[in-house]
Amino acid sequence: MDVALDTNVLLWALPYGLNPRSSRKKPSQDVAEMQRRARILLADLEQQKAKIIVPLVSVSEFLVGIEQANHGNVVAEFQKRFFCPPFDIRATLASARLEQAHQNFPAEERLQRKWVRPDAMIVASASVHGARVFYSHEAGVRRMADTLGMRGLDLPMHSEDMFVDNEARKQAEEDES
Amino acid sequence: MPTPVVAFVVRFVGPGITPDKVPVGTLFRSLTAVQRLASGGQVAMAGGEEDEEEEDSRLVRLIGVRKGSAVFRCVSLQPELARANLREAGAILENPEKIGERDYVLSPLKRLSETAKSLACSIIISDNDGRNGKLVEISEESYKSVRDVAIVSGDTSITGNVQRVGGATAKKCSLRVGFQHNLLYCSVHSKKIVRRLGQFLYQDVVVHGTAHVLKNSGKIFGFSVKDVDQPKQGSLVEAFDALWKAGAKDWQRFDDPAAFLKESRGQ
Repeated sequence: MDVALDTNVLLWALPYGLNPRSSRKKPSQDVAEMQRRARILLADLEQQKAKIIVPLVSVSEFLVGIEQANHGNVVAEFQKRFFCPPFDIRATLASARLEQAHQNFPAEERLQRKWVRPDAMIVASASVHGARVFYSHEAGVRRMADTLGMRGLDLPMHSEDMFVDNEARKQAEEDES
Repeated sequence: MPTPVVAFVVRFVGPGITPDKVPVGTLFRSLTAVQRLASGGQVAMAGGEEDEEEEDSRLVRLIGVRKGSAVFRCVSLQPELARANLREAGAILENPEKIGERDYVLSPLKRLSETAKSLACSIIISDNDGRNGKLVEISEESYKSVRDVAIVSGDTSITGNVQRVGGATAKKCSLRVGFQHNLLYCSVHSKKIVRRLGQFLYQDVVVHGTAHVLKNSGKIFGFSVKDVDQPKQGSLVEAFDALWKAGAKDWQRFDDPAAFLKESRGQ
């Protein structure tokens, strides 16, 4: 099965040594918890032998937090490990349709205007390149994925495999200690 | 048993055209293309690139083929609908902008234009014995005139599983892809790429090249493969570790990566 990952999922899947207690301000999301859920997702996808799609638009977003000198290496690594489809003609058509459809989403699932276009571009790229499932932590993005016929899913809270669950919890505890 | 009523007539019109001048294979492919036009795209083209499985719906059959002319009379289970669909195809040929969502006409038009070219003739489909005149006329140029309006092209990459590679007259391959039910038939840029695709038979590949996309539906109508490689297998955790080492560790600078990502979009 082909599975696409949103940029926020990529962020949480990184092996941070981030220590939330060192933060000057409280993070908008529980970093340790999001990392735990991302670890569960990676383990589940690995068990399913899922093919991972990371649209190039998402790769571009991912680069904004990285020093320019490392951009080339990171892009090369993405292309080595994942299928990174470009924003092509089919994606252009699907993205425009999605932006128009977004205007009719329920208020609670509507994204802020400034996020609509990049999210639509990412979701459209994944859809036209065959993704069946789209993982995102944003409800509006998941709704977009549903609109294009994919299954929009959030990061899993638990794995059906108790060993995966335990391992993810253990790692989260180690990160916090 | 009642005599079947002729729904429409297919004529191959050109200098010296008689039934024995039309190769059986060409006739078969041309008439299945006409069948697809008459069915409004509901029937696949047998022996064609659109479907692996040949399909014989018995919707259109030959009747009263006579020596002396390349005229093929056809009956149809739904003669009115068949004529309406053919008339619509004729309207699209007169004004290709009218194609709208009816992109099913492209494949049969391509095949019929190839036949018209190979036999140096035009193919005229008329109403019942021609009483109400021509429904559609296909010439060598017909397909090109519609294609130029209906299709846009651009470079992209797609993943798929290689099902067939090769071809006696042209370099081709077919891929099983995730975004459509039917196989995707592709032309291949060079023999070198054909050989590489051959090494990946029944394996997953990423092909890079030019997609010919139907403007109205966004479906891929054709794809020209210029390069191929294989998606890398391996542990996802290792993949993210490798990203981390390549430079993604820079994200660690931010106390709240998710908030920074959102902020960066707003700038």
